[in-house]
Amino acid sequence: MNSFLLLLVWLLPLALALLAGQRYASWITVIAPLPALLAAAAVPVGSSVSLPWLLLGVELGLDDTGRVFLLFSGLLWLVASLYAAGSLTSDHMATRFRIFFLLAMAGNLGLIVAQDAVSFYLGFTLMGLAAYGLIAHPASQHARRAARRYLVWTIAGEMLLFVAVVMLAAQHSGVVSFSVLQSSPPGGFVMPLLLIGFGIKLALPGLHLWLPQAYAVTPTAAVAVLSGAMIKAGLLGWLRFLPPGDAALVNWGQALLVAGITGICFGAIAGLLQRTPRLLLGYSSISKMGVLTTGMGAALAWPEMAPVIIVAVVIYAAHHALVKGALFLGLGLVERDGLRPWVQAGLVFLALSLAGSPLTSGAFAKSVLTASLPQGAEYLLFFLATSAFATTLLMARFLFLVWKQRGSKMSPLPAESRIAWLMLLAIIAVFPFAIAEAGQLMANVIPVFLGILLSALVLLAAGRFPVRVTSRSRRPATGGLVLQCGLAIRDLHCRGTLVIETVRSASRNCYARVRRSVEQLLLQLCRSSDADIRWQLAGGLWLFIGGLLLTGLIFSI
Amino acid sequence: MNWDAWLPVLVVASSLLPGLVIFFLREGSHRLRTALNLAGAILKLLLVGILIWGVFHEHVYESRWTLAPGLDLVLHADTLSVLFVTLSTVLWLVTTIYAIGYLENAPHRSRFFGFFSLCVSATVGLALAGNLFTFVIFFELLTLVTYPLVAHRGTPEAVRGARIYLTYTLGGGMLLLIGTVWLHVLAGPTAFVEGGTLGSLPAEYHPQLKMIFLLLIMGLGVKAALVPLHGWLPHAMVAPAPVSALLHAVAVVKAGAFGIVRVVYDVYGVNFADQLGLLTGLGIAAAVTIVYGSVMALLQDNLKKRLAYSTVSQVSYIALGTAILGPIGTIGGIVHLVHQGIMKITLFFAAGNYAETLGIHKVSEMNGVGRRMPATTLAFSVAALGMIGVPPVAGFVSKWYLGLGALEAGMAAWVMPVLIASSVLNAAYFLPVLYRAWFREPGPAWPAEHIPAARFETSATLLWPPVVTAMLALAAGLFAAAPYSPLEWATLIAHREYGL
Repeated sequence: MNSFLLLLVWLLPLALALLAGQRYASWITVIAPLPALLAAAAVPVGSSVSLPWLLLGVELGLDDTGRVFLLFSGLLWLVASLYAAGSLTSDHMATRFRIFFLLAMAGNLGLIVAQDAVSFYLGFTLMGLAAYGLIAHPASQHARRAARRYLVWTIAGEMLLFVAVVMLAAQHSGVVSFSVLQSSPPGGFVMPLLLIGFGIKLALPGLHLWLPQAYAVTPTAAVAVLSGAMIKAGLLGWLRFLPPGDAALVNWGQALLVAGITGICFGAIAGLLQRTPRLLLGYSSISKMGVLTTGMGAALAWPEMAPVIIVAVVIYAAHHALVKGALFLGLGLVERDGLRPWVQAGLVFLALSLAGSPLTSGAFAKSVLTASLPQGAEYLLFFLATSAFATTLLMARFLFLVWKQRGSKMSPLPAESRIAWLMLLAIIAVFPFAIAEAGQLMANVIPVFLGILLSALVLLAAGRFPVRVTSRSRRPATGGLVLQCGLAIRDLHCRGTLVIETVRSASRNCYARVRRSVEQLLLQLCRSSDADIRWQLAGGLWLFIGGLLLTGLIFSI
Repeated sequence: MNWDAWLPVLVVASSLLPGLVIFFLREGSHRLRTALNLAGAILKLLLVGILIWGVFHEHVYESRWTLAPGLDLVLHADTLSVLFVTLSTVLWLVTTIYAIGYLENAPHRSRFFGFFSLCVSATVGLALAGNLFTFVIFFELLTLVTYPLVAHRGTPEAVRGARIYLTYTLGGGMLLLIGTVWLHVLAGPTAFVEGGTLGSLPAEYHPQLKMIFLLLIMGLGVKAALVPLHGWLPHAMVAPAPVSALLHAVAVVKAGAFGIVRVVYDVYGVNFADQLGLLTGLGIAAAVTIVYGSVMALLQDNLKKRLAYSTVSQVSYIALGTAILGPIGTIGGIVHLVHQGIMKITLFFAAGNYAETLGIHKVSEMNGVGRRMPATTLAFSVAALGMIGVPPVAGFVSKWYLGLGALEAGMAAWVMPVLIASSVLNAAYFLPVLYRAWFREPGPAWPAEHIPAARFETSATLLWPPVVTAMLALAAGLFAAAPYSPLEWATLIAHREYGL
């Protein structure tokens, strides 16, 4: 029975993909992730099934890590399926979407129960290629470009991993079972291949170029699983292929630490400069994957602590998967339904969770991760605090952008989609209380508070010193970091001039002048609807004041 | 002669005799011709089934006629020949069904099916050949009986393509013949023996043996389309789709690759060939061909031409596997003999379906074709992904064993980059096709819609062959480790070759 259930994790989504074109097919995607959830709940840890005749000899099984991954991935796929079930129509486009959705699901859930390198690679490839169909789904030039870019990166990753897996197999005389692979550290070229191959999926800085645009175009239900569940497959790849606690990999651990910390900072800075909520969430993912990478690096760099750190990293991954998925689904609700008060409340809660404010899953994940770090890793605490602080800023900006973008009601979503989202919200709200011990929910008080404070300050300041935007200098909504930085510096200059002028005029302490300038400002306020002046929170101001407060933060720890 | 001696002859005759009869049938006797074709194909399949069972249990099937002292015509079934015979027989059956649908109401069907049967007979004959002399005879026969098939349409382009084909292959055949005669003079009759027989020759013959190897490989390389001897292949794609399918998957190109495998393993012996330093040269030729073919495929807009250059590239995987010393590389090369066959025949069937149903000949005309012909396009997609080496399609297994074999042989430094480059290039020329077919909006009308969509997207005899072969390609990869899979059989061959 157990082995049958493990097989069904693969087979049911694949079998249902054959039925995706049927008339009442809109609900079949909802059934597909059920075996995974059932397996996570009912199959005892340590169960395994061996199918020597399948492919090159397939081994499936469930361990502790696999169970957590199966639980949050299955849950996210279920919620996304429910969300999609209501929102998809029944044309050929929907059929195509459903097929790719189910294939990606089979790959993602399947690779979690895979216990040998080849079936893991099979699931990883199936998921990676099927996700292309989800990204390319909208018939727009923009989606086509984003999908092509995604595909190029994905194939590059597959190729590196193929070489890595073959080399590992050669190193262990053709055996590819994870239990054998983990018995000795990967030799020679294999480590960089594995780190980069899975690093592409995890969007390490420099390997992230596919991610923001893909998140910007992918349909909501798909981007929820893409950002929540599928991206974590890269982490699972590391956990599966790298032997934990092997002293030979300490240097690679240090390299991962550097990559992770770079990711945290890069994602945060680039995210603050974005002007659409989806892009911002994309860079936020890059930042959060930086946290996971840092955790993985710590596990390799302090081999004796690896088991504890890995547990913490897995919990953090689960937290991020659920919250990020929910954020995208909520954003989808706003995009289709308009900004209703209860959706707004839900988004605020999710934003706080992702930032890791006390009493949320974020605080729980953060405190577990903090507690797992060994002696000598104290400097990582600073970066974790920075991450919490930066995420708070990111989330404030996200909420602001959502509020600014709130559309007219275009095509209301059916009740299923909303119920699915609320379900996920309830789970995110409740699960930390169910498993956390006392005290674990009170992390991050200072960074989140500082973040909120700074956000409020910036909001006020941006209202005080608006940027005059002419049609020539209007910024593109998307663009890489360099472009956004350049534009932000120009903004900063623009606002800086404004600040200096205001200060100068105040210093003259001439009542009349102050009054005139206030009048002028009021005048500008009134003209804001002319679209001549934009009231916006530009990235430059964020960075400027953010840097100041960050200095304060360093002393606060 | 007893049953064991007759079986190889019967396997060849089961397509030869129907073929000869078909020549004399009237054009209109459609039913009799179909019955003869299918009866021959099914009978051959049954006989091959017995052959597989027997060879697996080390039963000896051999027929031998002495033409002159020291010159025997030998049909002998060993593991390698059974692999190739099985491939030819199964794909012949499928292709016959496809050809019946494809050529419905076309002129000269008796001529076509006659030569078609002869072509398969020659292929099976060279697969079962027990020595180099027999092999060469069937090899030349194959050239002659395929010529009318390539020229079948009779258009100036077809005649020109066929003439180029004949020039190349007769030239190649000449080189092969010279090599064979030279070898015969040097070493006497050369039977195909696992592990080779030439290793025992004295060392002063070695320079001559190297020259002979070069001649043989060049002769075989023309059919196997090794660069720069591949020039005929893109021209030969003017042939009707079933001919192209059989030509690329089983008969001609594969016969060349099969010959290379035979010469290296069963004439020279792989260890002896390595001693002579011949494998490196072969490997380099294969690597160059793999990359060159893929780059050329990238540049083609004509779908069949793109597939033709893809064949140039993919068939050299077999030669590459042969050049990798060690059982695992051998498995990779030999199993690709089968895997490339079933994947490529699927691609050509699908291309034929697009042309016959909608008049689509170019990649740029394929926008949205997945919506109009989902089953054909699905089959095409499976085979294309397999060519890239995406698991679980058959091509992945080949790539896996080639990579693993190269690592074990210490040749990974250049084999691995070639494999990866080839995969990337394959992705670059197949994935845009899939993108067009599945994601682009179809144009206002198809170039020339011959067969309207009814119950199926096209006529049933055209639809099922690619679907079946695509399923075979999927099954060959998915059940690679199961008993009687191509991989298991290739492993058996490699083990007997290396005496494991």
